[in-house]
Amino acid sequence: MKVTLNWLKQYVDFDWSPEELTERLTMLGLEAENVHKIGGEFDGIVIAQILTKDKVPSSDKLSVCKVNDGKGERTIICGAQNHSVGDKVPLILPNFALPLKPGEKEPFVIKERKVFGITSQGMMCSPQELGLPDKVDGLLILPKDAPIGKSFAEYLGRAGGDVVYDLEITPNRPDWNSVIGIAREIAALTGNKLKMPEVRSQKSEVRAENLVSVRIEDAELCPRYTARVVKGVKIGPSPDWLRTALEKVGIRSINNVVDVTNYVMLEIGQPLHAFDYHLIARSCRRESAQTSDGKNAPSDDGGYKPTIVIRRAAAGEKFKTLDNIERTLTNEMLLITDEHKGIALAGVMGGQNTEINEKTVDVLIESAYFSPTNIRRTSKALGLRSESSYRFERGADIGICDWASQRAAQLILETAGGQLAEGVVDAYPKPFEPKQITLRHHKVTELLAIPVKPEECEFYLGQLGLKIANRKARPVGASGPPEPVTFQIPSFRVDLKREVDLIEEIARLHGVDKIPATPPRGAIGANAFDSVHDQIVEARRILSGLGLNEAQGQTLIANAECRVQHAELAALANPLSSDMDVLRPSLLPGLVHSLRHNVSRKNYDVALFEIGRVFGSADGHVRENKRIPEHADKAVRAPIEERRVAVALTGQRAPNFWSGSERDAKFDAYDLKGIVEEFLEHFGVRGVTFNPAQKDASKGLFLESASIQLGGKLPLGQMGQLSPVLAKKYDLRDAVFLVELNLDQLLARRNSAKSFKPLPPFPAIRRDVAMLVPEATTHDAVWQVVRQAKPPNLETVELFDVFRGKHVPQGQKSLAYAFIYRSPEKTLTDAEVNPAHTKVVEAFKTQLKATVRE
Amino acid sequence: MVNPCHREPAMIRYGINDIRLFYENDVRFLKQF
Repeated sequence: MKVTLNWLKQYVDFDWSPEELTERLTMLGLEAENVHKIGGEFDGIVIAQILTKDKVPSSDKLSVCKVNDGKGERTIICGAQNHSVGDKVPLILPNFALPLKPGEKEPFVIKERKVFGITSQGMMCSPQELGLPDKVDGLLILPKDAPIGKSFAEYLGRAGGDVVYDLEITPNRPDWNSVIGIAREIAALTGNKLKMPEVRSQKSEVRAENLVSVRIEDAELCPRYTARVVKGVKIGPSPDWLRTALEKVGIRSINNVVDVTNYVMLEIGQPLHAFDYHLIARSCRRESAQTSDGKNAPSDDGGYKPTIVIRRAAAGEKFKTLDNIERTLTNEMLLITDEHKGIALAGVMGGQNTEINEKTVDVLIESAYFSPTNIRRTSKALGLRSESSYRFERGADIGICDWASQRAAQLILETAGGQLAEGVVDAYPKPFEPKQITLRHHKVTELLAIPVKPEECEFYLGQLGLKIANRKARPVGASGPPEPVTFQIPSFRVDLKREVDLIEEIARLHGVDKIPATPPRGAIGANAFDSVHDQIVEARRILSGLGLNEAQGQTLIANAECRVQHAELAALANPLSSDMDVLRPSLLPGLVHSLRHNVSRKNYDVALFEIGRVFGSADGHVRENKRIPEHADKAVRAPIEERRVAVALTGQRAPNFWSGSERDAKFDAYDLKGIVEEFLEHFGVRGVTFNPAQKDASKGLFLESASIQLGGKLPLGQMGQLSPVLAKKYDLRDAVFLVELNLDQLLARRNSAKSFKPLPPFPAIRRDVAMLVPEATTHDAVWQVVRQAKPPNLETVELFDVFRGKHVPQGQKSLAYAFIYRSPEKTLTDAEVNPAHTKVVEAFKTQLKATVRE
Repeated sequence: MVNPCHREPAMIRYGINDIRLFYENDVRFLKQF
C-alpha cells in the first residue's frame, strides 16, 4: 500500500518529519518497505532576511552575512555585491541540491564549508543559479513582503515535494489498505481528530430507485450491494490534483470517472466500480422494477429500468473482463449481471461490455461487499489479481459501502459534472451487527506487565473508533478494581475478535517501546517426572554412543516421497506446498532425504538416527488433499500417532585410517544389524529375532529386508537395504541401509533392570568346530541344533568364521564355531567335556548334513 | 541434537546463522554438537 505524506495530512494534523513518520508507523506495526522522496522544485530553499553584512578580512570580494531563515540565524559567505542589510533573498540550506541546469548530469549539492576560517552554512542564490529568467547581476532580491522562512517553491506557487511510503500491510489489518485507515492510526497516536471528508446528500428530481434496481441471488457471497447513478457526466482527463495523487502512488490515470473510483478506493479502502449506465440492459418486464425494500416503484425511463442481478456464474459461462481477456467461469464464481449478460466479475474486475468510455453520459456506481473467501478463490482460480480483489479478499468494510459511493458521486460531480440521482439503491438483506468485546482492566496489566490506567485504555480504544457500548454501574464509593467495559467494534476492524486483541491495541498505542525489557526468566523444578522423556534421552545416548549422529526431520513431508509402502496417509486439508502436504508415515523418507542432502555436498559417509513421531490416517482411507467432511466424528478424524526410532547408514564404515585391511570398508547389512542388536541390548529389550522378509513385502522400498520381531511374534519394525532404484533416484552412490523400530513398543517391553552374576571362579574349556554345510544353512539353524542337543556346561557358542572358495565345494560354505564350556562348581576336564561336545558334532552331521573338518 | 524448543536459544548461544541447519541434518553441522 502506497501513501504520500501530503495525502495523509489531508485527514489528520501532525508535524512529524518524514523520517519520524516512518519510525512512528513502524512502531505501530506498519512497516515502511520503501520511502521515496519526490523532489519538488526548489527543495530546501527558503526565504531568508539578511541581518548583518561585513567584509571578510583578507578578501576583497567576499562578504560574511548573518541571515534569519525563519528558524534561526545562519552565517553565510557570499561573493555577490548587490545585497544589503534587510534584503530578502532565497537561501539554499546545506545538503540540498540546486536545480539541474540544461546539460548538467549530477545536481550540485550545497555543503557547509569553511572559507577563510569562517563556516558558511548554506548559500544565497542568484536567479541564474535557480534557473530563473530574471536578469540580475548578483543575488535575487525578493520583494519586501516575502515571508521569512517560507519555502521558496510555495512562495512562487510551484509544486512542493512529497514523500511516498510503501507500507507493508499485514493481512490482519485490511483497514490499513486505505489512506484514511492509516490516518486514523496517526490520529489515534497524536490524539488529534480524524478529519473525514464531508459527504452531503443532494436533492434531485430523479431518484436512484427509479433508475435501477438490484437483486441479490446469493446473499451469502454478496451481503450488500449499493448502486448510485450520476447522469450527464462529461468523460475527460482528470484534473491535475487527481491525476498526480494517483500517479504518485503508482496508479495510471484513465479518465475522470474511473480515476475517482480508484481515488476513493485508495482513500477509504472500499473498491468501487463504475458502469456505463446505458450499456446495462433494461428489463423487458415492468414488474421487475422493484426497489430494495420490496416496493414497486414507477420508473422514469418509460417504465423500463435495468436490474442488477448478483448471482453465481453458470459453469462454463464466458465473460470478457476489462483487460480484454475472455474467461471461462465456474459456478463457484460470483457475477454481476443485468438480466441478459454478465457485466462484472464481482470484486475482481469489471466487464468490457459496460466499461466507461468517452461516450458515456450516465454512470452507475457500484459499492458492495463480497465474501472474502469467495473473491480469493475466484481470483486464484483465474490467476487474476486486482487492487479490488486484494482488498475484498482480506475483508472490506461492509459499513462503509454507502459512504464510499456518496463520496465517489460527489467527486464525479466535481470532476466530470452531471447530476446525481437522489438516494441510493442499497440491497442489504441482513445489516451488519457490530461485534461487542468486553475488556477487563486487570487483564491489561496482567498481559502487558505494565500499569496502564483504565482511562488511558478507554482513550486509546476510543481514538481507534471503538465506542463504549456498556459499562457496568459501580456502586457509589466502591473501591477495588474497575468494572469491565464493553466496546462496540467498528465494522472496519475485522481483526478485533477477542479481549486480547483490545489489549494489543492498547499496547500499540501506549507504545511497545515503553514496555521495559526484562531478562528471560526460568522456572526450576516445577516439572513432573517424565519417564518417557528420560527413556528417550537414554535411547539417544546409546545411539550417539554407537557412533551415529542424531537427525531431526520435518513432521510434514511430501506425499510423493512416501508413496512407497504407506497407503494410509494423514494428508493436510490445506497444505502450504506440495513439499509438505502429509504428516510423515515413517521416519525413513526424511532420513533418506537427509542422506541426499549430505551426499550432494560430498559428505559421503553418513550414519544418522532419528527419534520422532509418525502418523497414519485413522480411518484407513487415503485422503488426497480432500477437505475433511464437516460431519466426520472428531475421534475418527484424529490421526494415529506412534513414536519410532530409525537409523540410516551409507558410505564408509569408519573414518579414514592409515592401516588395516578393512580400512576402506563400506557399511553393510551386518553393521546395521549390529547397531540394532547393540542398541536393543543396552536399551533392555531381549528376545528379538530377525526374519528375512518376502521380496515384495516392502513394496519396492528395500532390495532385501528383514522383519524384526519380539518373542517371535510381536512386530517391532523392519530393516533392509534401500532398493538401488530409489537410491539412484536420490543420487545416493553407496549402498544405503535403513532400519525403523516402533519405539512405543520398545518402551513398553524393555526391562532395563541390570542383574549381577558372580564371576566364574573356574577356568573354561574351548572346543572349535569347523564344518562344511550347504549354502542355505543359517546360523539360526545351527543354533537350533545346539539348543536341542543341550550339552551340559555349555556357556556360549560363537560363530567366528565364514569362508567360501578354495577347498570349499561349490554350493557349500565353511562355518567355524567356538564352544565354551564351564562349570560353576569345578574345573572341567577333557573327559567331562568331550562326550557332550561329540554329541553336538554328531547332531550337526546328521541334522545339517555337515562335513566336519577334523 | 537440539530439541525444537531449544532452537532459538541455541542459535543465540552458538551464533548459528541459519535456522535451516536444524533440519537439513548436514553431518558437518551435527558433528559440532
